[in-house]
Amino acid sequence: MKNLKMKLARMEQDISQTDLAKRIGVTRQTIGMIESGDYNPTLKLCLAICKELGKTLDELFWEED
Amino acid sequence: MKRKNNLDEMQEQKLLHIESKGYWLAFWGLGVSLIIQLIFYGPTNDWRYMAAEWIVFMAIALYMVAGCIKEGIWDRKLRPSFKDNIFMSLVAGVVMGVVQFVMSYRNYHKPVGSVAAGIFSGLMVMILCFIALTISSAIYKKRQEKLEEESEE
Repeated sequence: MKNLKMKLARMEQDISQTDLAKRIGVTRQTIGMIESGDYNPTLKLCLAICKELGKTLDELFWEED
Repeated sequence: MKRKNNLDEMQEQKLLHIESKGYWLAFWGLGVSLIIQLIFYGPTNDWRYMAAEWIVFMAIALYMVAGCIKEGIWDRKLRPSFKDNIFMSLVAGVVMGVVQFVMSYRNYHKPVGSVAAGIFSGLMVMILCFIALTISSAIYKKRQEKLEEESEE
């Protein structure tokens, strides 16, 4: 399932996938795959993304039924 | 000096996946290669010609068994039960029985003798395999109990 919440949060702050990837120390490909739902990140990476985007885990990764 | 890992977690997982597939390809490739050599060259040649491959094959198998038992892992689908152990021993016995039959028939051209050799070999492999699985599953269960106790503390 696509992670549109993360994509929106990133775009709201005008951060590119490349910039976000650099800030948290992963590749752009990884960010792209998380947003497209092709990769399930570890909790450690989820937390790093949340911190960088100033959001909570619920706001970015909680899926409503 | 410990070298820095150039991969991020996604790449690391992908690499582990590729390595896992490569491992199984090498393992079963080696197994098939040993069987082919047994069938075509087994009884007519010195068995030492395939000793190195056999040692590598067994070392990989032992490493997997020891590693999995240490981590309290048995199998994705099979359980360490009497029924599953019998089933897997039967599979191993049938495979080795067929290999022995083909090997024997190819070299001696005696159908009855080859069938007898196949049945005998298959039965022996089945018994040995069942003993090995029973011992391994007993060790696994003990290890599992220990890991459960440790995680409760």
